[in-house]
Amino acid sequence: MRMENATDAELVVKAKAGNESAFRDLVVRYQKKIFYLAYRMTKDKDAADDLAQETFIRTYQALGRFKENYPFYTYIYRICMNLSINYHRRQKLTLYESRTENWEEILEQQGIFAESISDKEEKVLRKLEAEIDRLAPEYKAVVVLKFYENLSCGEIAKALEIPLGTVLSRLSRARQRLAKAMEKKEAAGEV
Amino acid sequence: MKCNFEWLSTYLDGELSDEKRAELEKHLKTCEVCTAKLDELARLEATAKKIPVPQLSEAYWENFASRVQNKIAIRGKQKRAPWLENLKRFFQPSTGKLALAGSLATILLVAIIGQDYWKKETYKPPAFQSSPAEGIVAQNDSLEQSTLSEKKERQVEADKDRLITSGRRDEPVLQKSARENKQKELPVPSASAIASKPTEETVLRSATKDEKTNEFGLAEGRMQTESAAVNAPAAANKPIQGDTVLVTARGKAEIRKQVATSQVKVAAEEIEKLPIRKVDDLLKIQVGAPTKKNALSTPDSQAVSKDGLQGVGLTHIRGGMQSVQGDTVLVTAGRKAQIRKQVTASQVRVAQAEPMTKRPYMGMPPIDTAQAIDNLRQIIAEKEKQLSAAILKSMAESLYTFLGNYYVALYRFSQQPEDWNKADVRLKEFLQKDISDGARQKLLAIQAELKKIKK
Repeated sequence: MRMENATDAELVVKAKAGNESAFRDLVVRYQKKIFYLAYRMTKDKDAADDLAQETFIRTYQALGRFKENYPFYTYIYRICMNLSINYHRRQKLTLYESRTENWEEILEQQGIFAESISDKEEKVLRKLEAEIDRLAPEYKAVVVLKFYENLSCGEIAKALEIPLGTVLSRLSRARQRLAKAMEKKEAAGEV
Repeated sequence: MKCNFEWLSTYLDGELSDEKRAELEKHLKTCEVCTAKLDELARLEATAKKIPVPQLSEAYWENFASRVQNKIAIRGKQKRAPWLENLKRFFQPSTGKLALAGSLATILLVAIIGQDYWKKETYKPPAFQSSPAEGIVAQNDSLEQSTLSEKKERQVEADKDRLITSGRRDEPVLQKSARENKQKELPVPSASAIASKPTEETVLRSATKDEKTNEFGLAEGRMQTESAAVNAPAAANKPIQGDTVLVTARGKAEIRKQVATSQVKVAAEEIEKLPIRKVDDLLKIQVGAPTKKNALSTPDSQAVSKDGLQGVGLTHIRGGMQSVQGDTVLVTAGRKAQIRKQVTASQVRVAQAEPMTKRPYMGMPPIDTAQAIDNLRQIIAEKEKQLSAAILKSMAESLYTFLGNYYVALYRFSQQPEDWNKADVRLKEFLQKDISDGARQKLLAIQAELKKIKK
């Protein structure tokens, strides 16, 4: 029986009744979204893999408590975001700059390259990526869901279980901060 | 209206109320700052969307769901009582939860028993008309004789202990004078509860040794359970010597204060009584030993260790006012700053004395060639993988220049002909691809660089 065209809610009902392949279809449907959500939050492929897997395991374990009238994706996003934020807190004290990035910087500073590694646009992207990464996890979660998942503020509020006003203020503050940081970089001629 | 950047973000999100939106739109028509800001915020989102993410293989995605299901199956098998799992996890070390649990349990215990204890504190013991012995006899005949003799023996021992320990300044002598206490008229002063450090067992002894001093001899590690058992009937509700009692924090602080005061008193008395009246003599040996002030800075302090005085602890006679080299001393912040200044000054002197060539490398650390080659190969492998997965033309283009640069850098370090060949081949391949003029220019520049460094 093909379930590709089934809605999330239909699949959830079947999975709840113990249909393994219905749950599998849900995983396949959301695996990329969840993986990249975790990746945007952690900037670490291995961590994102762990978190994405854990998200689905927790989803499965909590299926019994899931209410069908609630949109499934906000539910699963919430599990993923909570795991990511917790991961962030644990990582707080460790340096998450990868060795590779350090090497690029060292080589670039020593003028090893004929051209600068990347063109201007790529540099801008990298700086912005770093700045988003630097946001506190609560702010980052809002930004990631808004910028990359295109969720409406109401959906974000539901997914993160916070009031709409909080979503709006966090988004506003995060945007101001990012804009300011990028402005500074431009002024300093780094970008 | 005034510029309100808060609104701009909400406006972008489409969450501004109709009223505010109309107001803002009107404002935007006239305010260049806000228009620029809005543009900037909007661009931010558009730029962020372009940030690339790693591309993963099809195999990864195909296996993803199976891996999830396997893990669920494994966990299902492992699944024991969930509360047991939680408990286990809770008590795993390094989480800090254990400490939390411990403190919570302690607080709870202290709260429960402490409450009980304070109730007991207000309990008025039956007034003894005669000696303690009689009091005990009245309640417990059979145990009385042995108890008294035992107590006396113990007291003699305790007295010895006290003298021995008080002879050594570095060991704590816990003495308690109960004279000032309210139960002065009470022959058995078992009402005073003394708690030492929270982690140690609190040992209480009744001051039965003699009525005239009425002192508690508090020696560590000695349990006086027998005495507790004997006195129990006499004052059933009172904690007696030998009991471990739990007290509230306030009670503990109070007791600590009492113990400390009596310690100071006894210590002062003991010093006077000491057979060693040669404190000054001992200090004379220290002549020439470094004082606290110069201990850390003068090389002369070596002399002390030659004399074998280092770490002997003679300096502790007068309460550790002096220290010798090798001692860990506590200093004030001001002193620390002073020492630091001295150290820096001497470092500067040493640096000035040394020739410049010996100075450590300033600025960027030198690159370890082997490590660099290793890293470059790793990066190249990673980027090649990304390139093979890249779908977007712009993404592939930036990877071409990136890889070109890295191949050239690799050759720069390794100087291996095969690395040069690889760089050359790859650059030529990249140039044959359908690429923009900008990318072509860059690749040509890299190619020229590669040719240049071969010579």
